[in-house]
Amino acid sequence: MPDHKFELLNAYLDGELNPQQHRKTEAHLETCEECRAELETLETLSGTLAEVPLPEFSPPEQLVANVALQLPRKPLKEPASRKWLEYGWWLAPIGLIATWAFISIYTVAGDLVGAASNLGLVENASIFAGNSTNYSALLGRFGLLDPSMLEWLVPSETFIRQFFSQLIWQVALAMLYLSWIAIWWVRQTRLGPKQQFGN
Amino acid sequence: MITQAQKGDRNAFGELIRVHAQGVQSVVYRMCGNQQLAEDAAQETFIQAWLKLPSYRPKSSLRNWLYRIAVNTAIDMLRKEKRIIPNTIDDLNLVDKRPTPERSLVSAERSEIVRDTIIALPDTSRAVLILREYEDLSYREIADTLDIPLGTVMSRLSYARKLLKDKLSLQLELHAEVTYA
Repeated sequence: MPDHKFELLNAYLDGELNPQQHRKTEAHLETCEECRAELETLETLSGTLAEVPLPEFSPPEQLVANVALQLPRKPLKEPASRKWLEYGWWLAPIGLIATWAFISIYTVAGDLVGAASNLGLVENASIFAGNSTNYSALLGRFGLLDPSMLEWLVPSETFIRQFFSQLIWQVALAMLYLSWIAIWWVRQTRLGPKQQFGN
Repeated sequence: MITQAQKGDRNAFGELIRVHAQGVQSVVYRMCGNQQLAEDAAQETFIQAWLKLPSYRPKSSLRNWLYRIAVNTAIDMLRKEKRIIPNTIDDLNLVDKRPTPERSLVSAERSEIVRDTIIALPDTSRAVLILREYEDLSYREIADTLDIPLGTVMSRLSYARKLLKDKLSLQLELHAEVTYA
């Protein structure tokens, strides 16, 4: 017994299936009596609905006149809040890119200043120096780690911490930016006014 | 014309009403099932459209934008009227194209049953059904008009047709039994 395709029959009837689905459904209908009967019922239903006539409404001129009597002098201006929302919406990606640029520049500048400091070109590089505790060094100070281990553990910890802090920043900003693009895309693909259905 | 109307040109807006009057009247009537209420709802739809015109973006179809306002207005008016009893057969102003008065009456009664069954559907499913069956909108257009996902259009349409099928088959059978007894 073939699997029924009841869920596709509405779309089939309305011509909304893609060519492949259409062909498959058509082939299925040739072999499935139940689905054929269901399709026939749907077609009959459409025919029954079409039988309901429209009454004779007032002519359009009358409608125009009636509406004109009730219209305010001018259409409402676009609400200011909506305009600000629109500005804010477009400022969001600019802000994200600016934040990313600032952090990148700060990091590169910090590296350069650090290098210059090591070379003795800069005396006070404290503005760019992190003040976070190096836990390997701390443990070493209490004698819990060998000095030989500290030689590679301290720079490794510094590197890993810098790397991960950078990674987290970059990924967080990228995610926010991608989210913005996704929302923008949805807004573009969904046409129509913004008021809620059924309000 | 739309741009002119957006700037406050009432004549241009009047022209838009003339173009879309029939479609809007059809949608609100199918949603309400009552001629007087539909006339009021059509007026209200165009008043709302005038007020909201500045926020309309020409990239979307004006017809579908108006249909959306029409659907919402009809639902609001029905709620205010607390779902008034659907009109009698006389209200339909049916054009009698049938050869005999008896056949015309049977047809009008059938129409009334169908119309009342549609009105009894949930608002959301009814809107989708009407836009599909009477306004011949594609699923994509219905989704855009009602601002709902495509999948929801399909499920609501399927639900509405199933409900109608079940209710109508029973109602029309009863009607046929009474008529032809």
